[in-house]
Amino acid sequence: MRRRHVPHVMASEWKKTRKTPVQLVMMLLVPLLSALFLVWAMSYVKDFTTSYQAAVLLETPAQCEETEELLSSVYPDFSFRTGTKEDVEKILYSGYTDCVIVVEEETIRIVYDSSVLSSSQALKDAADCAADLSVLLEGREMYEELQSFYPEKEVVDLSTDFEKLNTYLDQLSGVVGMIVFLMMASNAMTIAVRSITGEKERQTFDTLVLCPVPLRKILLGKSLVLLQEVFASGIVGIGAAIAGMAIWNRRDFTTVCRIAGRDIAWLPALLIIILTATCLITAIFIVIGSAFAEAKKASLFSSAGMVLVSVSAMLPTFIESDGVRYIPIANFTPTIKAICRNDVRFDTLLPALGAAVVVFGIAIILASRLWERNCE
Amino acid sequence: MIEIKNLKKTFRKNKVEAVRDVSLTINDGEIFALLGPNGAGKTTTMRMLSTLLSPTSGTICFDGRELDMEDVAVRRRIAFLTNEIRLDGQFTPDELAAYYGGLYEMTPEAIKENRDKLFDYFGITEFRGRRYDTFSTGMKQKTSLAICLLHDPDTIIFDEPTNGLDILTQHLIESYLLKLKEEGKCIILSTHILDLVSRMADRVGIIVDGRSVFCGTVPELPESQGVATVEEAFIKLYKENHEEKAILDKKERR
Repeated sequence: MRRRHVPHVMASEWKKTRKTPVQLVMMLLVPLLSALFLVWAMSYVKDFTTSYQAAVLLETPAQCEETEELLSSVYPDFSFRTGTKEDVEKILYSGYTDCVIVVEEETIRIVYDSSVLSSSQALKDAADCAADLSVLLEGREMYEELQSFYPEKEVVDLSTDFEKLNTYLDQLSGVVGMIVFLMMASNAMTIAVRSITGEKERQTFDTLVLCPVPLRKILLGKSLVLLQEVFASGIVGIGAAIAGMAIWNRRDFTTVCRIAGRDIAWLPALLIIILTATCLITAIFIVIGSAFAEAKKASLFSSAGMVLVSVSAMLPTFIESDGVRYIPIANFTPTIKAICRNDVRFDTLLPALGAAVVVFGIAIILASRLWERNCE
Repeated sequence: MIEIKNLKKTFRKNKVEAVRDVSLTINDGEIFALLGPNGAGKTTTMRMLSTLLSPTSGTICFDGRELDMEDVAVRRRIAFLTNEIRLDGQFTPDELAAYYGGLYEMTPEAIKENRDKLFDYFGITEFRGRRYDTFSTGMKQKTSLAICLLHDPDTIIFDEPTNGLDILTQHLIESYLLKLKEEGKCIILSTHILDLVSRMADRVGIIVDGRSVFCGTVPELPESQGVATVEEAFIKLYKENHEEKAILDKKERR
């Protein structure tokens, strides 16, 4: 009779890792609280952004000069540039301009693109700007009259839903990256220690190694089951991040809900991609860390490894522009966008997935070799 | 038959020469006792025999086939039990049998048959639903023994199997080892209880300071040393070889 060893080890490991309700709550509390805290902190960080750029498009160069001088003195946080009416989009997208205030005959139109808007405050200030602009153009004494003359201020968002999602993911990827890697750093340590090194210390591992099963299969089976905790923590962390957004960042949450309501498929895709990446990285550290003979060394190795990965993931990739803008390396936006647009190219995804599996395999083999060296 | 030739084991980390030169022959259907004082290298030799450690040099042959650490075919034929080996405390004896039986690729029917037989013999049946970590030392040892023997191995390697057990449990285990011998199994015991050797062993190997200094039948041991008892022979061999080593070490240091 030929049995599959890996599922057999997994089934046993599953039983071993059974948790009491209290242990389960404690395990999930860390990602839950860290995610909520980070989203809460991020909501403040967003409002601390106070440097905006706006373009004001007027009829004549004379108006431009006068307007620029006045607006700069009233709104020091704004970096204004003025010009005559041209193509709105061209101006909006050059140098990450937050918004363009177009003064027309009967309307002051504030044009912006939420996917490139640096802050929600920028839009509010732009609206105030538009009001002040009216005063400038028609004279302070005509202010009330002008207000009634221009009753409507149209606000036009040029970004598409996918671009909104893109912006949201850009912001979220940093937060989620931090949450996920923080959880991994704490979890990987416990998991690596308990999975195999702990067994060695409890003197239960020898019985397992004596079985006619290659060591790499034992390591693989154990690692796969222990990753359930990382997976559960990841789901709780991301869930908490979304809940936190609903509480502290209603605007982004509404956007996400609108997009999700139309095509909910991206949400599980996001979870799967982030969690798969997380699990693979954790697994690599678990299996290599487990080769150490002492729990203390194993946990030190895993923690150091996880911290290095976290730091590298948070390193910025700079996007060239007039202003400096960056996204974290661990940014899943391009992949998520491709999935949302039904534009997934497996020829580009498969090599990445294949590479991850190969690295995991190498880690398993390396761990078994290290374990054997420990016996020498 | 197991043939051990010029076995040597040096631990890299602390550069300790645990086994310097051990050569032994162990036949099928016999109880072979490995004797030696504490720190002589018995346990290291046993661990190499059971594939848990790889030798630095020398060979171990099972029926003419050289052993290597990844040799799953050999692992299927051996059982190794020591006081230091524990089973997972969260499992019951039934669960342990199912788990280890599965890893040894046994059919559910074979697991059930062997498990019931062993559990009955060692008096585990009424505790089969209780967690292993709730057992007494004796019951743990009996359960470990039953699980080790579940796959019906040809070669059983026991490192001080009755150490710390009460007389009743010792008697039970000794009786079972004799039963296994009658079934033609090869049993290797590591011990420093000379009485156990005299009562049970067919042949004996003595290791002093990592070197095998005697290998023969139990009656041959006192005869070869010109003394009356196994104990006297052991002490004489130890003194001669330990003193010889001390002189050699002294010369080396000079």
